[in-house]
Amino acid sequence: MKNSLRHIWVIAGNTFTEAIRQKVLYVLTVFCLIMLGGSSFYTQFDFRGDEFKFMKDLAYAAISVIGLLVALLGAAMLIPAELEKRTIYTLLSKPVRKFEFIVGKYLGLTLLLTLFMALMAGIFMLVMWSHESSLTNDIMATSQGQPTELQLQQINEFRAGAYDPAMWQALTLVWAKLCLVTVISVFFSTLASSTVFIVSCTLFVYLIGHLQSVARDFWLAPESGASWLTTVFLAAISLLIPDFQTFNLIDEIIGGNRVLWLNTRHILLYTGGYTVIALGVSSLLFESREL
Amino acid sequence: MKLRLLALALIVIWGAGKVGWENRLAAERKVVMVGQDLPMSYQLRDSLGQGFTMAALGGFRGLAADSLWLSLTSAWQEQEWERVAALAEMCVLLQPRVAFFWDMGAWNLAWNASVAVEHGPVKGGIDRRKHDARRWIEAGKDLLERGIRVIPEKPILYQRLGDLYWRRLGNYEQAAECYKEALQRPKAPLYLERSVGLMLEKAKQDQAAYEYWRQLWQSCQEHGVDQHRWDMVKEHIQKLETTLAIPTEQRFFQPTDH
Repeated sequence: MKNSLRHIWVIAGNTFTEAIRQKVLYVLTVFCLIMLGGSSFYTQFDFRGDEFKFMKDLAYAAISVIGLLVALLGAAMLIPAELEKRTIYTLLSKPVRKFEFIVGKYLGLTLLLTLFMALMAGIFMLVMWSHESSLTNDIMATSQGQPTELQLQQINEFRAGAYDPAMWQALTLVWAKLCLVTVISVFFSTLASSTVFIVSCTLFVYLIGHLQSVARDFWLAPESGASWLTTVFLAAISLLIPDFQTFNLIDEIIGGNRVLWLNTRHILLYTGGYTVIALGVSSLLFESREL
Repeated sequence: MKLRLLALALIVIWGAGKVGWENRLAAERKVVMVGQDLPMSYQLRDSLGQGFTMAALGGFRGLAADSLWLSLTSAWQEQEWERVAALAEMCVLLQPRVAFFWDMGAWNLAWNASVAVEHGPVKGGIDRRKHDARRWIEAGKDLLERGIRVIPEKPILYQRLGDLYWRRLGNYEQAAECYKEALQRPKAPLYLERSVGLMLEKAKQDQAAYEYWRQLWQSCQEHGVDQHRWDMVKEHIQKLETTLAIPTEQRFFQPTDH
């Protein structure tokens, strides 16, 4: 057990180091930074003090899309590369089990994703802070340091928008969603060695996952009137694909509505459960694969 | 082969269990979103183009709604009011729980559109213009009322509806009712306390206004300088006592009070 954990940790560390050396990651990070910085240009439009909602939407979308690419490319490039370069044979000739390899790879990628998210979140907070300061300073300057009641309320709204602790809740949910995408990507990488195949399959699951709840509702409806073929198809989608609508609460949080941490914990638990099962299945399939 | 069968069994067992779990999570989500958790309604799919539908499906509803809002801003600048109304509808369909879209959508219709058709360079006599202006005010009011049904817990939409009754329809009693409703919600701005009294005065309900101001004064023990602006409350009480000709000995503030 102790040995197994040590093996996993070493593989995770190596995966992280290897992933961080990929140039594509830096390109993606630069794009994300440009989008985050660009979000402050929303001030050019008149949103009557609600710019923060728009800034957050753009920033969360940037973090989600770029994070999605980091997760997808990370898993789709690293595991097939091990097979292509035949480094996996050196690794597996040592007393390393195949499941340790899979779990290690996944943890390394999760570590990379976490670092990426932390960096982006930090920069996003700086952009928000700078925008809030500029708006508040404008009001203070126009009111010559003595803001009216309405202006004070505006300043309070700016501060509430910029330093909303619920942003961490939304970021946690984005992170969980990306971890789920990563594990799906890892799963496909145990089935095939083509990067394009892995990326497209994961993307399809991601898109279908946003409609999974519709399929599930239809499948479970007592009198849906569907043919047996449709029923089998809907059942397959419901049973295999994760429900990405679960993470829809991110929109709710950005929209300024209160979401309990209890709901977030339940989603994290669901993500955790899915991850464990997906890693288990991936390990079994990888174990049965002839290398 | 054995391992593959084991993997399949694991998937099936997990799948059967996870469906129930997902249903529970969906139920929780419905509670949080007050029944507004529609993955993609037919109405929405019909209204949106392919690009926006894909964005919404990919979990970027917020961004899709923001892009539509930017188009709405262009339509507003070009004074294409029908397009403004249609885009506002799309925004609230995409993000029904965001008060901003209801609030600003209604403002565009009840203020911008109605003023533009009433005073702008459009054809038609004064009656026609007034009729059109009224139509846009009603459209704005309808948007706010629908918004209130979707997010009843937010004070802002009640406040805006009160503003609309006050400034666009001249219905001060209804405005006062809306401000009262707003005040019952958390995070309502404190100045709305005074807006209720002010509306009652404007509606010529002096007695009701007087009682309201007195109740407001008595609702607090400390009357220092703070955001409640007690000095203004006191002024209103004293002014109404003069208007209502209340005898000096029955007045709320005796000459010795400061």
